[in-house]
Formats: sequence, structure tokens, C-alpha cells
Amino acid sequence: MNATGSRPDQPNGTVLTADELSLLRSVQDRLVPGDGQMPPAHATGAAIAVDTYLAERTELRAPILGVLRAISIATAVHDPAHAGFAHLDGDVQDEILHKVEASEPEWFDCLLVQTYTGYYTDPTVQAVIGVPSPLQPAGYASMMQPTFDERRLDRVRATARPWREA
Amino acid sequence: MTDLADVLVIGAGASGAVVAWALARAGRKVVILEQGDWIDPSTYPQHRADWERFRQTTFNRDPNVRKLPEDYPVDVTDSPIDPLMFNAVGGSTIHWTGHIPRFRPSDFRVKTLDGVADDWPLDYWELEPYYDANDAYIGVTGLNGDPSNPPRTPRTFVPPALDATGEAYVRGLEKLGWHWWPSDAALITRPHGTGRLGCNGCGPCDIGCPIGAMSSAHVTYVPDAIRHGATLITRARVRELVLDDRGLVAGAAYYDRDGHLQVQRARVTVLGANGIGTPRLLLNSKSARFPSGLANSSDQVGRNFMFHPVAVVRGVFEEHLNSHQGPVGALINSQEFYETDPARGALRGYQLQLVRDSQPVGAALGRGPGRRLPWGKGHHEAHRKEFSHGLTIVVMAEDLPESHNRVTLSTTNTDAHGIPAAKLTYTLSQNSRALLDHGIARATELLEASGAHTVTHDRLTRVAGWHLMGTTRMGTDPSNSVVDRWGRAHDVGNLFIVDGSIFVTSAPVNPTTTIQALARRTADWLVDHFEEVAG
Repeated sequence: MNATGSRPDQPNGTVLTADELSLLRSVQDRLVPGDGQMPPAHATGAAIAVDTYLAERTELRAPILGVLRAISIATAVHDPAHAGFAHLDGDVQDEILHKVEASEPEWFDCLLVQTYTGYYTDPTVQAVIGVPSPLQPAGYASMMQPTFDERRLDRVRATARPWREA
Repeated sequence: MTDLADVLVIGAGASGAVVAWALARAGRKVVILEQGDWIDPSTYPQHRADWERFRQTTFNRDPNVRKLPEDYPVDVTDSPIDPLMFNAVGGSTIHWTGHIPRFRPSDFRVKTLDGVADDWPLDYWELEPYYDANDAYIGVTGLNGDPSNPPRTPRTFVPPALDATGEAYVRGLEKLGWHWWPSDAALITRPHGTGRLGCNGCGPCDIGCPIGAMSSAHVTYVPDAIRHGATLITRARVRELVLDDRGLVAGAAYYDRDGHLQVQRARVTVLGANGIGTPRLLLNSKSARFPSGLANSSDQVGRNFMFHPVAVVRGVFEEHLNSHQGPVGALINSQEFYETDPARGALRGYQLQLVRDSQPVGAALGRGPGRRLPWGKGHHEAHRKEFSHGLTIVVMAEDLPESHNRVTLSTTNTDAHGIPAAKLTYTLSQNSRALLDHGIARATELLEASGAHTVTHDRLTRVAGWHLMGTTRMGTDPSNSVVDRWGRAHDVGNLFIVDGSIFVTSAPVNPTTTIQALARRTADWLVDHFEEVAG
């Protein structure tokens, strides 16, 4: 894998190979695992979203491809049998990710930012959280009724320092 | 070469749009050059589920991040704050919270009252009718009667009732006995004007309002200017102003959307390109007559740059506050610490802009590296505790003008048309630092009084350079100012500047309503004196 970001796109218009996408899904599941109603990352569009961001923003390619490569290398060190990251025990996966986070903090941070972005912009996640997806046209219209109670300002009217005349 | 216009306006943002509207309404032939384009309302991110990702790309407020063809880079290597702006029809009123407090009378008499900076060559009362007229025209939600500000006309719309977010703030404010008032907000809660819907509280006003509820220039002054006959040319990147034999501005040379160089001639030229774009254009307009840049005989073009330095203080609460709901930046304003108090160890003051909090992605990302929510098993629990449980206070200090804080031309960067980019050199003053430190302590006190269990802050927020002021300041003395009390360049009689560049001081409040009031005042004067000043 070339982490310079200069690698040509995949034939289907995406950036990640099938192996990289698979690795990314496994990694994202450790970053954002399932919890109660919140789905694990692999059950959302988070990995595809990151691939889309890579296609649109070439400046993301070096860090994201770089961190995936670093995870692959760290996995090989941990796992001489070469079963791959996805087949490791969860605690071992986390240990690998912590090591990469420490050795490549900027790349790892980039992966985290894009993973969180992909995860929390997924409609299934938004539905669980309870935010409109999309925000428009519904918004939160009921909160905008013009019903401010001016009596709430009585204390301010009585005590506020006046403006300086000039 | 194009037809001769009466008035050429450069920039279709908050200020340029005002002048274009006023002069077109008065029957003048007006041409507006705007380097950006119209934003199709259907393309605003809020129409998409993945809207939050566009904060990182095409709807980012930082041109150095956005890097759209219509943007120009700003070299910020010598600034601790990044300048923010948007280049489109409507300008930076698209990336806007619509929080529009006015200056106070004391803000125009800083030298007289506090012995620093300079007084303005006009006073509040001269500007007051223009504030009122601007508010009535664009549509403002708010309440008059704030005892800490001069009386003003009734606002267009009454604010909504305090929601959980507002109640939490008020709980602390009342406990401390501090000033607070519902923000004057440049937004409408009922249909108003042409094609504008009432706000439905969707939240992220700062990436543009897709329904026209924010009273931004592209839904107010610009369409009305066009209705009155103004011609708007978009994707027009002005390279320089050109002079006639008399040393008056004859018009502007600009690259059209196809990259061809054009010249728009005009009898009067008005700059509304913001506190960085305007000095950049003047400095790029060198000639034998003006070798250091147009209108720059005083060497003041680009100097005295002022931000509003910002410190963000955030509290986290046990209770669910729904603080992601509603217009993000226009909720409550506390001006308890507005005026000078020597006990603070600094002159002038600051406002506490009490705003709403992050959306789901924003809550997960925190504010910068190291503030991300933890990944792994604890992530969801952390997100549940953060998202919609936070209140954010923007401590906005008055910055004072300093000659060494300035905009110059970059010697290494250019925009897409090869025009030298702007370079910003800015140092936070000791006075501004002291104001921010005081404000951080008070905002922390407020959040704790409101019930926050955790309070964190940035000492100085880097991505907060919304307000760009002071770089072609107004004054009566041509040796130390660039424009006169009407915004007319001392050196060039048919050149006017109407954006935040002309501010003498910054006050501790968001500047847009003052920019628009000043622009209306200049436009009125220009209507009455056009033949005297036109080239």
C-alpha cells in the first residue's frame, strides 16, 4: 500500500481496495462498537462514508491510508500467523490500535474524526439519537413559537447597570 | 470594456448589498461584482442526512480549509487566530449566527472615556436611525427595553419562550444577579419579505439558512437591489482598481467566470469586501500615483486590524438540555462586563454570548485533538453524557487597534487568478488577554451557578476570527486614517469603503448590524451628494 495519497482510485470510483475496506470496518467496530440501541460501526455506512470522503478529499488519503497500513504492520507483528486484524481477540485489537494511536497520533486522529463523522451522519444512528434526518424541512419548529414571557426580565430591568452616556 | 455605471459595488455581502440597494432604489445605475456565486437553497447541507460533514469541506467557514475556486488564501502563519469569511452572494452573512447587538454610545468615544485608541468621527445618535431602519428592513427577532442599551424601536418579532437551554443559563444569571437579555437576532420567526420562511429552529445557522429565515444579505438587500435595477455579476474576481488621469477611480479590472480580464467602469466605486479583502484590493492597486497602494498615503491601509478575540467556555450538565436545538448563536447576551472597569486590570470590556451547543458529530469530535470523545467501549456512554448536555459561552473581547496588527500582501501565495493573497500579522494584546482571562473566570462562574458539573475552556479559540475590522479606518485626519466620516477615501474622492475595515474601534459585540447601519448612512449621503463626488 502506498501511503502517499498518490495511488490511483479503484475502478469503481472509490479509493479503498476491498481488503482495506474490510480492515477499516473491523477497525471502526473497535472505535465505535455497538451499545444497546446504538449500532456498531459496521452496521452503518461509516466505512463507505470514509471511502467517499477519500474520493472527494485527496488530503485525507495519506493519513487514512497511512494509518491503515500502520495497523496492518502492527497486526503482523502481533500475529505471526497472519490471520488478520479481524480475527484477533478484541482486547488484542484494542492494544494494536492504542499502539498505532501513540505512534501515529495525527493519522489516527484523522481516522477517528472521519469515523465519527461517518457514523453520526448515518440515518440509522440519527434515528436512535433522535435528531431529524435530514434537519430540514422539519427542524424543531415547535420551539420557535413567539411566546417569550417578558416578566422574566423584571429583575434585570430593576438592577442592570445603565449604559454610559457619551 | 463595459458600459459606464454610476456606482460600482465590489462585494455582495453585508455592506456592499446595502449600498447597491440604496443607490439602485435612488435610480442610479449600479453594478455589483461578487467573486462568489449564488448558493442554490436546495444545496444547503441541512437538506442531507450527512450535513455535518460539510462543516469540514465546502461549508467550512475558513477559506484556507474550504479552498473553493472563489476563495482566496490568507497567510496565517503569523496569527494565532484564523480569519473566517465566505465568498458568495450574501458574503459572510451566509456563515453567520445572526447575533446582532448594537454598539453602545460609549463605543464611539473610547479615547475620551478611557484614554485609549481613538474616538469615532460620529456618535451613536447619528447612527441610531440607520440601526432602526436596517432592523426594520431585514427583520429582527428580539425585545426592546434593555436598560443597559439605549432604547430602540420595537423588534419585528417576539423571541420564543426560553427553552431548556435558555432556562439553564437564566438559572445561573439570576443567581449571580447579572445582566442578560434575549439576543437581537437577524432572523424571522414568521414569513417576512419575499420567499422567506420563519425559522424552524433546525440549528446550524452558521452554515447558512436553507429557508431564508436568517436575515442574510442574499435574501434581503441583494434581491431588492436587483429588483430596483442593479446588475449583479458573479464569479467576478477583482484584480485591481483602475484610475483615470485625474487620479480618481475609473472602475475595476476583474476576471470573469471564464477567466477573461474585463474592466467595469464607474463614476463612483464602493468597496464592501471585508476587513481583509478590502485592504488586499487597495494594496494590489498600485500605480505611479499611488505606489504603496490606492488610498494609502497615510500608510494606514491594512493596519490596525482587529478581531474579536474569543475564548470558548463550555459546561456539561447532568440534565438533558436539548442544546442542539434552535438557532445556534442567537439566544441570550450578557453585557454585565461590557463597560470599562479598572478592577479587571484591563480597559474596555467583553460580552458573554450564550449560545447553543454541538450537534452529534460536533459532540463526538469535541474542540480539536485531545478533546475527542474516547473511542471504544466507553464511547457511547461519553456521547450520551455530552450530546445535548452542554452549554457554550463565547467570551468576546473588545480588541483595540494596534498599528502592527495588519494585513499585507503575501509574497508567496496567490489566488487562483495569480493575484497576491493576503497575509495577516496579528498578536493578541495584553489588554485583550486580560479581558479574556477575566471573561473565562466569569463564564466558568456562570456555568457552575447554572449547575454544570464540568467546565472546560479554550484560552484563545483559533477558529474564531469571524469579525475583521479596522484596516482602512475612519477619521478626520488624512495622515492617520483612510476614509472620512462618510467612508469616503481621503486620497480618492470617488472611492468609498463600507465594510468593517472602516471601524475605528471594535466594541465587544458582533459587528454586522453596525456595518449595515454605517453602509446605509453612507448610501444616504451618496444619494444626496452623488454629482459632487462622482468622477
